[in-house]
Amino acid sequence: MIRLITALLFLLLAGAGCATMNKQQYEQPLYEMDVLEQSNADTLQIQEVSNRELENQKPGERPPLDSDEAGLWMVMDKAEFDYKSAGNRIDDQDLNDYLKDIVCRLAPEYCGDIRVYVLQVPYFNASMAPNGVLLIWSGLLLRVTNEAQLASVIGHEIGHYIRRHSLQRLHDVVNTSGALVFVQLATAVAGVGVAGDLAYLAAISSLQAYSRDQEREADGYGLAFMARAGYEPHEAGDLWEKVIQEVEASKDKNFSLLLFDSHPPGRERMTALDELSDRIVARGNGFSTEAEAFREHLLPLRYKFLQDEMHLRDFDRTEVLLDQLIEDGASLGELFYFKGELYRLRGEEDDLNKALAAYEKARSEAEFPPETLRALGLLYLEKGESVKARSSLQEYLALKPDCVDREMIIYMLSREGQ
Amino acid sequence: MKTLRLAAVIIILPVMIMTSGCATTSHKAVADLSLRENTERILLMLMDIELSELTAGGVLEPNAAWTAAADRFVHQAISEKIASQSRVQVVDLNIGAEQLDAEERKLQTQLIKLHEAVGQTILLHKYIELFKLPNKSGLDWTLGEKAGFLKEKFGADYALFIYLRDSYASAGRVGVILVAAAFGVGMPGGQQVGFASLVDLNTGQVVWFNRLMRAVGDLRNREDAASSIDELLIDFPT
Repeated sequence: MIRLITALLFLLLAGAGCATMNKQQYEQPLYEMDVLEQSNADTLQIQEVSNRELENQKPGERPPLDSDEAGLWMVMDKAEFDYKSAGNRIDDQDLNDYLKDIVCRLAPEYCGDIRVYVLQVPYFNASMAPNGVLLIWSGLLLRVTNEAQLASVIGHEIGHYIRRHSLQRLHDVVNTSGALVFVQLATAVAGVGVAGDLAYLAAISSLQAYSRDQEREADGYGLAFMARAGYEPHEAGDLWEKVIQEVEASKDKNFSLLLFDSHPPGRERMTALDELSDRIVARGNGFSTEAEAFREHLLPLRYKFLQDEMHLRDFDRTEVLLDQLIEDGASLGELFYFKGELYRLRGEEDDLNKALAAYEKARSEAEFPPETLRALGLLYLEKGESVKARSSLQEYLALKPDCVDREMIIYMLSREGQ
Repeated sequence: MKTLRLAAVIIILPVMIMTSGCATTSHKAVADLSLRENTERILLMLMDIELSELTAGGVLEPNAAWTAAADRFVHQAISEKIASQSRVQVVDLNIGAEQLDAEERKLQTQLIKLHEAVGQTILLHKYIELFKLPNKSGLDWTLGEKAGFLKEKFGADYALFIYLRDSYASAGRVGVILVAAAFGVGMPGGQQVGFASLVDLNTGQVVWFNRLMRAVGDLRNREDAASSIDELLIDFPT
């Protein structure tokens, strides 16, 4: 824990970044990687921004041992040691290979430098450490619906890596307001006590946050990598739009804290991403979303991610999320089952009828979780509709003969039979 | 839970620093602890050492070059210290690491992580009066029986876990300290803190524990590193 504190103190962000919108930060990477046409005016702007303090991270480069950057790497190498054996790491080989493939498609130069770790945390987040450790939370995997959206996040994180944003922040902290660090940490921690784990995550994440300008620059890289690799760039803005909808529906303030404390205001970001995507697409063609490949690798894991999401009990937001996923249309039976779960657990007025309707909708799909039938059976029991209850429960046993609650269901059936 | 722990450490750290300079006392599971008679080997677990520079503003900036040097010197000092007082051989886990398969490597990492958590707990409850546990006497903490797999793998009876943090005031920080002192304000400079546990691999029990806490010392050179280890391993069972 002392190590964590040290790391936090060390990684602490000094200022909130400037609030003025700065298009250059978004555009610079796109010119650099030649995926945008530039006008003369743009060229002038580039010269202005390209006077940057730090060189880009080069492929295969390790900082010299006596540098401050090596200190950063050392801390993160140790953290990586912990991630490797973390209890909530998802080490599913297929998933990890797939994510690594996306990294390599986006940035083949850095393919050997970036290591992906997936952690089972039900919030929308990904982060990049200076030593090339890319952390992806399962909540992010639940929310993206195609490979291009996933690539937009991964490309963004690779942008942080290449621009060595952690080192830039270290310099900021040490040079400008180091003395404020303790105060800020104390305040951040003091605000945490109430909301438990999420607040803790939010505090950590805001402490580790990059400045808004860095986020803009990373967004620019994200788009540039996407365009170069042939991903449809508009998916980046679409993803943000979905996330903003969720945040607006959320009753939990920390949910947005995780995202927007440091990141540019959502609307600004969406507009900028969309406008740039228009220009990218106007210039080239053959961009794809790779939705099929994405579904093949991610859908087998989604049931578990949805269960985790339910446990957050932030129902109104989850409803928005489920509607987004339903609109996407993959494995509808599963989604309607969880919609039924949502209403059943929320239990507000008329929710039981809504739950029933959602479960029935799930059952009408070609594939659905067997648990749908159990849920239906129990709800019909509650409503006194014995015939429907019996047939649902019997179907459940037939569909999932080795279910853990088999004896219980048989007992219930025998009681209903009397 | 995590929040609480975080908050606890925020409280503990300053307390630890304030009480630094107190005499070192190690704790033993039993008063007259000695290594079992036929002990041949002690396994030195991967040490968790980190050296940092304390900048003017109070930011701890980890230094990789210092840490690499300290790791070497501490390692050497531990081997020499133990060799000087018994015939027990110190085996380095690094050397035998390739004997471990993926699952065992995971377990070993977990043990090191667990030791940090247990060690912090011992520090809190054995060394800080405010947090003394009324119903827990002696040294009664364990890493669990799973630690036993190391005994089979390495033929060692005990494992030694080391956790060290060392910081040095930068020139700027020294300036701040001097100015503050001129106004009668005491500002902390660099600190050497850490702890060591000896774990019985038959049971997983922590049989000996000590902490290090001082404002002097320097792990970046051989002699001073040896003196720190002398203090950390004071009363180390023979």
